[in-house]
Amino acid sequence: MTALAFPLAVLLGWALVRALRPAPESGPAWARVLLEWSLGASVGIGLSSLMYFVLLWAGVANRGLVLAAEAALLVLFLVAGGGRRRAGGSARLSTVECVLLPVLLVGLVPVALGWKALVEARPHGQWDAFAIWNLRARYLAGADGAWRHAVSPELVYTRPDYPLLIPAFVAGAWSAAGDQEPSTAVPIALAAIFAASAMGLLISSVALLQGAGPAMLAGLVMLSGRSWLFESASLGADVPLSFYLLAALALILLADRRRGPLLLAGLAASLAAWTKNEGSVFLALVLGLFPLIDRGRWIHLAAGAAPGTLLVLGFKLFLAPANYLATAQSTAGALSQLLEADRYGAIAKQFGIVLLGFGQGLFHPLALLALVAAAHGMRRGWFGDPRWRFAAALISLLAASYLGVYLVTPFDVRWQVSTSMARLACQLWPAALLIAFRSLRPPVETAPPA
Amino acid sequence: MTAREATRLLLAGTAAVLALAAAFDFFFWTGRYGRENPDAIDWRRQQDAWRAIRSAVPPGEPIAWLGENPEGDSEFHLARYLAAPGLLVPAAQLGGAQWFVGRIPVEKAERGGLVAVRTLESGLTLFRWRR
Repeated sequence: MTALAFPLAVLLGWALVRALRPAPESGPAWARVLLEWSLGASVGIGLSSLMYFVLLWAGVANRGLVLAAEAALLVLFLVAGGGRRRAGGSARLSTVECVLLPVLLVGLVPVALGWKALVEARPHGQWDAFAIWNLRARYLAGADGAWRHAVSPELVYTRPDYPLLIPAFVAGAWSAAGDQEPSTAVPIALAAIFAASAMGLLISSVALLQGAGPAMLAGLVMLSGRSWLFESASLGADVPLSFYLLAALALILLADRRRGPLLLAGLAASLAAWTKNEGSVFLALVLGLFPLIDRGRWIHLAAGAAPGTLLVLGFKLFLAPANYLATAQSTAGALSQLLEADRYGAIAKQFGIVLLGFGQGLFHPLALLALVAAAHGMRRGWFGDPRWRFAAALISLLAASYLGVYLVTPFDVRWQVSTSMARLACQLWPAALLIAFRSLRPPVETAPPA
Repeated sequence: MTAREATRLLLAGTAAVLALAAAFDFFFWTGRYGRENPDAIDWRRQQDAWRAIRSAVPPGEPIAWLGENPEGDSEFHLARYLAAPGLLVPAAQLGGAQWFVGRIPVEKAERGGLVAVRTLESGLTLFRWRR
């Protein structure tokens, strides 16, 4: 049954994505297929996690029931998607693209081998993986109501208010196996799927927006982000969150006049909220700011976000203890901390360390991004493009919210920035790359989707 | 091909080659990382220890962790992970517990009411007190 958990979830997500047709009809067929599978794999995992937790909460958790529900939804989505096969744009690659493609494929090999070495060295992941995420998964997979330990106030030091997308999916796969010692293969496979999905989604969405050449360069620049690759092998929740942030923004940038892309964007934003608390801030920003660029179709975005948002709200209102910012900090204390100059200094210093450490010397992703920008130049009217501005504002405001938390945290700020800022940077990295590539001039100027 | 196009190609090509170099650099770095940061946790031994503890303690019986400042102690969080789905809590928060575990010398714990002591291969010690 464990063997079924992954393929069924991935197929479920793929069928939903395919039914909602997120890619513009004119894009190259390979990019549409890559987008559907990349998006589908991780959206399916999110849906599976939602269903498992809802059944657990309802007291009827039974892996057989979850698999049956997933299978029923799969059939529904396959029927809704129909047998349509759309003709795409030309799949022919230019000479430059023919050179870049093998470079990208060759680059994936050492990255995959290095990633494998990291997870073999730490099969239970880094500290956050076993002290927070997989600890919860063990509780959720436990018998006789042990799942409630996942939100026990006893876990105060390891944040019992954190949402449960990763633990609930892992628990679902573990409970199907019924082994006494849960296998590390499940969280490792999950991390691999999220990393590969993020890479595939970045490449395919840049291909659909900007063309195949920039897409391959985007993939190559992503490979140079050592911190992000390391974080994905740490088996935490930051890279999965980075996937959902990227997915929501890519779908909003790709959205044409159909409702499908926005429904999926809303769903991705709500899955971000089910992954980490930072995702809830992102969801609120997406829903709050979208009317500024398209008031008429906000309802599609909100409809897509509804199921995940309802679960997150229910979880926060009825199950999760309060967050440490609410229990360990007073308003007066927070306000007085805003005036402490040395906090800003500590945050700025750590930001420099994180930025420099994100890559390595000459191969630093920002250096590569500067070269790519110099090669392409900026797209005509990029700054006036409302969707680009929306995406850039969203990520900037999310980063500003991280800064706000550091300023008012009740903990020692030096400890908190040194243990978390690199992970927060990883959350934003794929979305920031998408925004950067969207501002560049495509090899052949193309109009943005209407 | 114009000089401008050639310059663009050169810049994009340089970026691609550097990214490829970064990918190989990541591969070699992971090897160094593994050597310089060996996993200090002997997972198999720890899991065996917790399997023994779970088999010694009746299902549903709470276990408390003995030790100072357990929340700041990595050992405690590792033990809590391995003890799951049982909920391991600091001893100070579980007054009525019969079962205690921790990495403390047996002689320190040998006082009234102690009915069972079992030192495990991992170095953890399991105690049972009379209620």
